[in-house]
Amino acid sequence: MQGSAFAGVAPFLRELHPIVKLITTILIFIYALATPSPTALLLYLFLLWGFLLLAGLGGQLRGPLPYVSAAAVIVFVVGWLFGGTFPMALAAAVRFFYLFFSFTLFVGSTSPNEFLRALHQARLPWMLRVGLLITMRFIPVLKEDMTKIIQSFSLRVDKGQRRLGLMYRGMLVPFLFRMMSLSDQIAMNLQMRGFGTKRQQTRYRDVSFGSYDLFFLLANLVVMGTIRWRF
Amino acid sequence: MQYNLKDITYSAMTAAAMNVLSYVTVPLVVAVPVPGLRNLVVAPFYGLLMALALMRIDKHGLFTLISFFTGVVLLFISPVILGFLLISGVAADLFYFLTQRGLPKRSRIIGASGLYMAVMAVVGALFGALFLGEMPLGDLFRSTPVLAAVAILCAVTGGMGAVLGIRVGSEFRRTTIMR
Repeated sequence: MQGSAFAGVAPFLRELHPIVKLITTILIFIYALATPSPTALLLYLFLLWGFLLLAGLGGQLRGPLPYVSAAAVIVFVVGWLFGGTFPMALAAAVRFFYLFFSFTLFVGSTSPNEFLRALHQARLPWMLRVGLLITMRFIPVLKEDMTKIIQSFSLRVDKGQRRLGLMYRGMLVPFLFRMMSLSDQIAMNLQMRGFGTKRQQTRYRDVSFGSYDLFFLLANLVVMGTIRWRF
Repeated sequence: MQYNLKDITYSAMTAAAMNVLSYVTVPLVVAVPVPGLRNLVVAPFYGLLMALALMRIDKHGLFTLISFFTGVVLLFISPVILGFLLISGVAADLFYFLTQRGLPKRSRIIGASGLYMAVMAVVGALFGALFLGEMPLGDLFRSTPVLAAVAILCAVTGGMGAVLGIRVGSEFRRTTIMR
């Protein structure tokens, strides 16, 4: 079963095979790049938005949306100022939303455990599986740690005193130290759970590729193809 | 020279840190149409983290492995990133392997980190033009001097980051934080 963090996600998205979701995000990316028409881009974007809202990911979209919108506006303005045409700049800005939506589609509905299970069944070597899992899991952790380190540094040191050497001592070294100690702790914990041995590992439950996965992939391709063809 | 669990966790942690740093820095310059600029802003940090990883692990293929972990996470943003990260990783690993008899370790680490960033800038710009249509290929070739300057800057800042990484690594070793 998936964790409680994904409890609000509708079953039709949650139960989708993780690798199918990954392929879908890549397809969305390719569609965004291969479609020059802003109308076609906007049409599929609204469909995708609706799909994510139906799937119960509205809450995850709401928080970062103002920042993504602000970044998209910057992309649009800079793109237009640096010699691009209006449709080109608009398409670049819309593509920014595509990145965010496709990222939310995968990350918001897939637990790292499920993804790891799917990779295990796909016979990916253990070192790559474990490495990928740690990388994905610890990006938010390190981000939070970095924010805390910066905040504590700002509290302790006045703006006028912030020299490069002091910033190196007060921000960079603690961050690297934290990274190292985290890495050692994880390695020890994983070793205790039997990772890193050559013996074949069992899995808690199978993640199988079913007819629904195939239907989802084909339906998505048909929608993309139709919009691309009509516009 | 096989990788053990400790090596893998540290490589993955380095990749996570690289991702965090790129999320912070790259959006600041993402819209500026100068080829290789996105690599320039992350170069000192990547150089530092790579140097530290090399000091701790020192096994062949480390650049490629860390690039793989970093690139797969960025697959959701763009599959092209994985491609140019892997090519840069292989180039840096080749340099690190081929110079193991001719150069002291410190120079190899600095050289490989600098090369990693320079190759990333050039191949990244080329991939951007080929696959993403960020800039027509003709325009890219016309801006070769700009790209060359950015690549050299990337190599220099990446190398400077590596120097700092070696310094931090030596301090950590002295205080037995790192073995």
